[in-house]
Amino acid sequence: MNGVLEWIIFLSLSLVAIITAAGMLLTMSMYRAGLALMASFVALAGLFILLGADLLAAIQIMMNVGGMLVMVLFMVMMMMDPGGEMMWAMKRDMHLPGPGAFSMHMPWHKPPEEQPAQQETAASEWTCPMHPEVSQPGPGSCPKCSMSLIPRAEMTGEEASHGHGTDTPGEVYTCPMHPEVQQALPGTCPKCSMILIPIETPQPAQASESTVYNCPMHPEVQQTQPGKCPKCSMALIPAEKTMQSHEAQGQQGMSMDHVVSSEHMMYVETESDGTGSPGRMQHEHDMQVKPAGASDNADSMQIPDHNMPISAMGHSEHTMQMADHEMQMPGPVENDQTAQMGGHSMEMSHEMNMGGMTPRQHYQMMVDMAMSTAQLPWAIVLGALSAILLIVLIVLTPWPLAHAVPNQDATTAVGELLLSRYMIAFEGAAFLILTAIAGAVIFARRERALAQVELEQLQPVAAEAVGQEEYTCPMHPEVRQSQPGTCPKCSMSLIHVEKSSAASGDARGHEGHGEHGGHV
Amino acid sequence: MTGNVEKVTTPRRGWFVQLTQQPRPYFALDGGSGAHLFAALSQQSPHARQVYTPRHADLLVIAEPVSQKLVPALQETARTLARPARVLLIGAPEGRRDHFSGLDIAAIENLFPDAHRVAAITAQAVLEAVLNAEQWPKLLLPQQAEPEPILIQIPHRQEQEIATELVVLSLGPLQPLTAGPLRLFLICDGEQVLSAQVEAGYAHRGIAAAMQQTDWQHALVLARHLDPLAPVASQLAYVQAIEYLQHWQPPEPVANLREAAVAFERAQNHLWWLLRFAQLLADTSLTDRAYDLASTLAEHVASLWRQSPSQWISPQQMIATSIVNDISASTLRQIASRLDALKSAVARNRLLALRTRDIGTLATVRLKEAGVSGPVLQASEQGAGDVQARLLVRLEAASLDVQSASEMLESKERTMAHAANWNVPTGEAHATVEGPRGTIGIHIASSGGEKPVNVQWQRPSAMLLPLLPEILGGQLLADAEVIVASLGLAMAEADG
Amino acid sequence: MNTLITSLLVLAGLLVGVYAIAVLQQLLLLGPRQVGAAFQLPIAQALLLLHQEDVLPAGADFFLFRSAPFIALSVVALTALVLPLGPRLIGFDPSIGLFYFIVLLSPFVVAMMNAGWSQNAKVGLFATFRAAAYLISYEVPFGFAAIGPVMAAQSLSTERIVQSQAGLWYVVWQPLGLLIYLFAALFVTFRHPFDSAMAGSELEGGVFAEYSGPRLLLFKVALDALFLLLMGMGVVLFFGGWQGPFLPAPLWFVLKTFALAALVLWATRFVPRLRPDQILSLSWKILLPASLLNITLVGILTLLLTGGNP
Repeated sequence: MNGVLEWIIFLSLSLVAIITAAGMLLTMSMYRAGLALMASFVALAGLFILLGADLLAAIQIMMNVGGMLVMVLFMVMMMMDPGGEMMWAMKRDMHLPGPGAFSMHMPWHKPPEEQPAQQETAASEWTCPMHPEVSQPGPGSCPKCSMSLIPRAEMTGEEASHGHGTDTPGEVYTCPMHPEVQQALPGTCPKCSMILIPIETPQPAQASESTVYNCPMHPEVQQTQPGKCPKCSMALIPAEKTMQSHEAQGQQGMSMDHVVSSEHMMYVETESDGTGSPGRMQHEHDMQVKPAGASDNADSMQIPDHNMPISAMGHSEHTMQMADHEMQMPGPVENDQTAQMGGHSMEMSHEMNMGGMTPRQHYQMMVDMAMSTAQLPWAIVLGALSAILLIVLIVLTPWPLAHAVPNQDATTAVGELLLSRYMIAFEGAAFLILTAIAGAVIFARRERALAQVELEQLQPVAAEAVGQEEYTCPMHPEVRQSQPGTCPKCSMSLIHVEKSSAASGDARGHEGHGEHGGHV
Repeated sequence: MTGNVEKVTTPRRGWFVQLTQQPRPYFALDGGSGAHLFAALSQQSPHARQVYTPRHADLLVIAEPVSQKLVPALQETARTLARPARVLLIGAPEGRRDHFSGLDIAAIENLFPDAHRVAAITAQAVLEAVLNAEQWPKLLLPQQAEPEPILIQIPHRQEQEIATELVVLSLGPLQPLTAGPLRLFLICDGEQVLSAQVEAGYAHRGIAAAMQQTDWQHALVLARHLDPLAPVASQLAYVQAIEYLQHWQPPEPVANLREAAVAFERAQNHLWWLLRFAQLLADTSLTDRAYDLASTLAEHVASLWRQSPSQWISPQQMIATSIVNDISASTLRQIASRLDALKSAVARNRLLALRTRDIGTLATVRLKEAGVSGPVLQASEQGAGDVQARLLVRLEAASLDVQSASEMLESKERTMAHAANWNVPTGEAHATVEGPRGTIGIHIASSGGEKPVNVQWQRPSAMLLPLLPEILGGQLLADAEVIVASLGLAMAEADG
Repeated sequence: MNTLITSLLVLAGLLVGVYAIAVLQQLLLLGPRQVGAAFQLPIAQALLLLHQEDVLPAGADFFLFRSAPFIALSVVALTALVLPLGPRLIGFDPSIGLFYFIVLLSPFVVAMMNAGWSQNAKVGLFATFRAAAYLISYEVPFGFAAIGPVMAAQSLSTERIVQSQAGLWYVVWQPLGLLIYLFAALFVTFRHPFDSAMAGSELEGGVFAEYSGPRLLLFKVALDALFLLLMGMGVVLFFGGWQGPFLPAPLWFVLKTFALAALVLWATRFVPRLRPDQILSLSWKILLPASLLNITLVGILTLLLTGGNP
C-alpha cells in the first residue's frame, strides 16, 4: 500500500480509537459508553489489518462487538438512566460547564474529614436516597445500589411538622424520575418503583386563593395549579415554599413511610409532543437539544463552579442566591476544554448546611454523581505514565530487530503464534472475569444478607398477617387459589399473595378497568 | 360518504408519464369514513405508497369529516410531515353543506388553507390527485397543538426483586388497526401488554343529536353517515323504523332489493377488511388476492345498480325492478366461489395460522353479555373464537352474502313505482339491520311533527370497545395489534 | 493508488447492485406488466428521499442518531470487499475472508439498534430491543451454516472455497446448510418476514420511525446492499461462486446471485410477518439444532467424499 495512504489510515484509525476511548470515560450515557468502547476496539482491529493480522482483527471485532453489545443490553436492563438523560438534564439545569452528556465535575480536592460526633446526634437513621426502605444506624453504602447513605432526619423536617405519612388533603406525591406521576397517597412509582416524594401543596392555614406554583429550576414558570414545568418537566412547587422546601425536593426528600400503597395508582400523562403521529410517544424529559455542545461550552465558562448538594435536584437559582452570601466563590476559572474534568478548586464552607449532609457525605455524593471514583487522579497518572513508557519503548526499541521477509508461511506462523498466545490470554482473562463475577455475586449476597439481618434487628419485625396461603395472578388479582398454578385467564404463573391489604386493593383497582373505553 | 368505493380500476397511463412520475408516499388520515378508500388506494399504484408514519411521507391525505377531537392529532401530524409537504382533502361528493350541517366536525379549510380538495367519486380520481400532488401549493407549518392530558391508570403490581419499568405505549389515534381513529394506551412490561386503556371519541360527530335537530328527510342523509363504511345498512335501519311507524310493510320484491343491497355491502366490507388485515400482517399473496376480490366485487356491484341504493331506500319508496342492470348471475356466483376458495386456502395456511390461531379468544358468554353481535360473536359461537375464526367467518359470510344477494336479484317480479312518504305518525319504533360488523339498531320516537323527537342508535362496534382492556390484557404486543385488527372496529360507527 | 481504485470500484459496483436488487424487488411486487415502473421506481424513490427534509428530532442522541446510517453503510461496504467476482477479482483477500465477512455483520445490526435507541421515541426503543434480540439469535446459526463449506474446503478464504467447488457445488450435499444460511441472511437484513423491528405497519416504522430524507436513504441502501451481499456470499458458499461454462466469470456470479435473490424474495411473499418471539423460537429452537445437525452431517460427508484431502 502506498506510504502516504497508509499513514493517513493509520493516523485516522488511531485518532478514532483514542477519541472514542476518551469519550467512553467521560460520557454520562451508559449506552454511548458501550458503543464508544466498541468503536475503539473496531478501530484497533483496523490497525491490526494494517499490520496484516487479519484473523486477529476479525476476532477482535467479533468478540468486542458481541460482548460489548451484551454488556450494553445488561446496563440498559438493570441500571437507572442508561441513556444519561437524567444526568444530562441535571447538569444542564445546574449550568455546569462542559459539553452536553459528558461527565459532571469531579471534585478534585481531598475528601474532607468525617465528623461523626456531629452527625450521630443529628441522625440516628441513615438511608439511601434511592431506596428509602434501607435503614441503618450508621453511615455506609446501600446494599442495593452501593450509593453512600445519608441521614434521614433532615429531609423530613417538613413532613415532621405535619406528621408522618398523614395525607394532608391536596398533598401530592411524585416520583423524582417521572414527574408526571402524581398520586394522592405515598407509595412507589408505578414506572420505576422509586419511592414517591411529596410535593407540598399549601397548608390550609397558609392557603390563599391564588397560590402560585413554580418550577424550582425555572422560577419564571408560574401556574396556579400543581403540575409539570413545561421546560424541564419537574413537578411544580408552591412559590412561598421554594426556599425552605428545596430540601424536600430531590432525592433526599423521601416520604417517611414506605408502605406500598394499595390504592389505585393514577397519573396524568400529558402528550408533550401532541397526540398525532402514531407512535410519537411522549418525551418524558422534554429536552431541547442544541445542535452542538459547543454552545453549552461557550456560555457556561463564565459561570463559576459552585458546589451544591447535587441531591437537591436542580434548585439552581434559589440556592445560588443563598449560597452567594455564604460561600466564597472559587478561584480563577480556568479555560475549560471539552470533556475536561476541570481544574476548578472548590472551597467548602463548613458552616453551610448542605441539605443536612456533612461535607464528607456531600463529597461522596459528588463522586457518585460524577460516575467516577475518588482515585481518578491516580488512574490518570498511571495511564499517562504507561503510555509514555510504551511510546518510549516503541521509539527507542531496545531489543534486537531483524528485518524479516514476509512470506506466506511467516504470516501463518505468526498468526498461529498470536492466536495461541491470544487464546491463552483470552481464556485466562475469561477465567479471571468469571471468578471475579462469582466472587462479586457471593460477596454481594453476603452483604445483603447482613444488611437484611441488621434491618430486622433495628426494626421490630411486623407481625405477619397470618392469612391463608393464597396465590393470585399478577395480572388478574381477582383470581385466587390456595395452590400454586397458572392463571386461568392469562396462563401466567400464580404468585404468593403478600399482604392481604394489597390484594384487596388490587381487586378494587382492577375492576375499575372495565369502565373505561367505550364512549357511548 | 366515501364509504363504499365505487369504481376501482387501475388507471392506464402513458409511458412517458410513468417514466417521470415521482413516487408519492402519503400518510392517510382517516376521519372515520375513508377506510375502504385508503385500502383501495394503497394497492393501485406503486408510486402512491401508503406509509405508516408521517415522517416518511410528504403528502397528507385527509378523509373528511374530521371530528373536533381529532384536530390536535391532525395538526401534529401535519407538523411531523417531511417538508416540502402538501395536504389533500377528500371531500364529500355531493357537496358539504347539506350533509354535515349540525355535526360536530372541524372545518379543515380553516386549518389548512393551502389544502387541495378533491371530491371522491372514484378511487381513481383520488389516485390522480395524489400522483399530481406536486402541482399544488406547499403546506406551511401549522400551529403547535395543545394536547390535553389524559389520565391513565396503571395496574398495581407486586413488588419485584428486579423491578421492571412499565411503558405506556400510545398507539394512535391514527393507526392501521381500526377503521377510523382510536387511541389505545397499552401499558406494557417489555413486550407483554399488562393492560390497555382505550380513548375513543375521535370520530364523534354527534349524528344522533343532529338527527333530532333536522327534519325527517334530511335526517336520512345523516343516518347514512352514521356508519360511512356501511351507509346502506344504517339508512335502511332508519327507513325501516319510519315504515314501522307508518304501518307499512314493503312488498317482497322491494324487500328483496333492499336486502340484496345490504348483503352486497356486507360482503364488500368484509373484503376490504380482509385487505387491511393482510396489509397489517404484510402477507403479500393474501393482500393480492384480497385486493383482487374486493375490487372485482366493487366493480360488479357498482355496475349493478342503475341508481345507487342510497337514493332509493326511503320510507314507502318503491322502485321499478329496472333499477337492476342485467347482470349475469354467473358472474356473482363466480365471485362467491372464489371467496370459498380463498376461505379454504386461508384455513389451510399454516403460516397464517401461526399469527392467528389461539390468539385473542373471546368467550361467547362474555360477548353476549356485552351485547356484541356479528362476525365476532359468530366466530366465538361457531368456531374457536380466535383471530383465525373471525377471519374465516368473515370470508364465509361474504360468500353467503354474495350468493344470497344474487339469488334475490334473480326474481324479476314487477312492482309499481311509488314515491317516498315522509309523514311520520306519532309513536316509537325500533328497527335492526344486520350490518357488516353486527346488528345496527335504531330507536326513534316521533310526535307526528317535522323532526324526530328521540333518536338512539345501537352501534355494534361500540359494544366491543369496553371489552378491549380485558381482551388485550396479558397479550404480547404484536398479538395485541392483530387482535384489535381482527375485531374490525369502525370508529365512525362506534363513536356515533 | 491501487487501494483507492479498488475501493472506489467496489463501492460503485455495490451501488449498481443495490439498484438492481431494488428493481428485482419491484418486479416481483408489480408483476410483468409494469416493467417500466419497476425500473424507474428505485431511482425516483432515491431522488425523492434526497430532496426530502432531514428531520432531527428534538432530544435525539447527538452522535448516535447522526452516525447510525453511516456506520451501517460503511460496514456493508467493508464486507463487500471479500466477495470474489472472478478468479482474481476480489477487493481484499485475507486468508480468512469468510470469517471477516461474518464478524462485520454484527456492527451493522448494532447500527440499527443505535438508530432505534437514539430516536427518543418509545417505538424506537421497542424496536431496538427486538433488533438486539435478533442480533444475538442469528449469529450462531449463521456461523454454523457457513462452517459447512469451510470444512469442505478446509479454508476460510472465499477464493479457496470457490475453487474447491470445481467438482461439485456444495449445495448438492449441504442443502440443509443452505437453508439455514438463507434464514440467517433474512434475519440479518431485517427482511420480511423478520422485519418486525423496522416495518411500517409494525410499531410505526420501528427503528426508522424518526428518520427521513437522506439518512433514511442511506439506511435503505445499506439494507438492500447487505441483502445483495449475503446472497452473493450464499452463491460463493454453496453455488460455486463464479464458476460456469461459456460466460465470463463475473457474469455468472451476478446471474447466480440474482437468481438466488429472486428465489428468496419470491418465497417470502407467502409468509405473514412473524412475531418477535416466534422469530426467536425459530432461531433458537429450530435453526440452532438444525445447524448442529448440519455440522455433523457435513463433517461425516466431508470425510467420506474428500477423504480429508481438499
